[in-house]
Amino acid sequence: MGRPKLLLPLGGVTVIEGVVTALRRGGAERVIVVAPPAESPEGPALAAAIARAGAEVLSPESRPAEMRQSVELGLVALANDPPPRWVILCPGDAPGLTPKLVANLLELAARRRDCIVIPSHEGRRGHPIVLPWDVAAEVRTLPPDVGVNALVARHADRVIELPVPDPGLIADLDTPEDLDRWSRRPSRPDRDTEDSAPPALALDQAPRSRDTMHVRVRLFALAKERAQRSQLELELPVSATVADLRAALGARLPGLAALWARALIAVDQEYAGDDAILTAGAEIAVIPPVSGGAFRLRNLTIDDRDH
Amino acid sequence: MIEITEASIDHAAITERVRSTRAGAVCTFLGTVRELTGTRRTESLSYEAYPEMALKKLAELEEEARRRWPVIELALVHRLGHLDLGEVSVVVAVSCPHRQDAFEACRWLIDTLKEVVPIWKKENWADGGAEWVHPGLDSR
Repeated sequence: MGRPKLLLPLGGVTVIEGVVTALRRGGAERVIVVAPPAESPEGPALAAAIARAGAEVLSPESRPAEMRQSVELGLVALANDPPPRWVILCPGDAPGLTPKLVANLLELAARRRDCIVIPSHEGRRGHPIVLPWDVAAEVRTLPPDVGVNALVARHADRVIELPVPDPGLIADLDTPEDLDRWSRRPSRPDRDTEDSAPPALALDQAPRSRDTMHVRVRLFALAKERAQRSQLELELPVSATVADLRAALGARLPGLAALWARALIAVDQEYAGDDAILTAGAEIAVIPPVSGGAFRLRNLTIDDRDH
Repeated sequence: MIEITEASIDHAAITERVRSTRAGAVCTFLGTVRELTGTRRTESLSYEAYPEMALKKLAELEEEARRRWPVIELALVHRLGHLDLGEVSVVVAVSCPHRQDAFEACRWLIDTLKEVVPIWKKENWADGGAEWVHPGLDSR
């Protein structure tokens, strides 16, 4: 691109500063950027930008040949005792990354502890991805010529996708045209605003994303009897939470307000808190208080008891 | 052994199943259909489950009980559908080397089962009317 793309200006700062800021504001405790060697032409300026944004700079002596090597270096730096529970892998050139997206990914990871979380738009996966530490630690076991994607493939059964409304949120800058589109984006969502800000231009020529998703909600016992059906179909905003679901149920069947407020919500057969994010394919169910239980806790799991 | 079933439960057979020469104690809990709740008379109960999640939660209960106590064999069986007075709605049977563990595991299993497993009961009252039992909710 003529000059280092990570130092290109976007939204008043450099691309890399925007990415670091989004990761930090989104809840990443430590941000490490594996940068080019300090002796390289762009090294000093990049290191300064990274430090300005509040991240640690890791400058290997020679430029890593593959992204996988960069990832490995970063992981070594993170492998403290105890290691982190999750690692977010993010390319430096992720111009659309927002704190909200990072926070949503981390929240989903916290709820589905053993899962790899990947944002997707209409089935296309993007960046950044969240790896549980046990998966991240396997990077060093990969053969030298194999990329990190092999880990995702190896643990395909542990992958969950977080649908995002705008493909630009999860894209990276691969060509000069990409950046050109970004810089001309008339109403580029500010990094501090909600992800739902309407994108003026989609990066990958995909049709304008739908901002809602269709979910099916199973009903039981009193809920089923009063609603006179065993499941409801609802339209919810993409990335809606359990709290949003309760509100939507209340709007659909206002006569059952007490039930929607008091019932637990199960997502994929686990009790989910009001902050949990719903995905389009999730199995969602309304669980009225069960017959023998006092249901004292809103998020009762077996592990939480008696400890 | 984890099961939810519409058929009546043979609790003796389930107790027999968990017996073992390695066990010095077997504890079986039966939940049965009670006629009186206060002064109100029950004619029958109806149980309904979210079956997939109920089986998953029951399996988690078994796993957790085995983690906490030296369980040799364990059975969790819940009845669904229409139950007459006196019928067995739930069986928890546990065998352990010693009785204290068997008692503790059995008690923990039934208490936790009733709080986390999505199975609901409906009272069919003798004086007419029926209501779902949802503690904390006025379900009439």
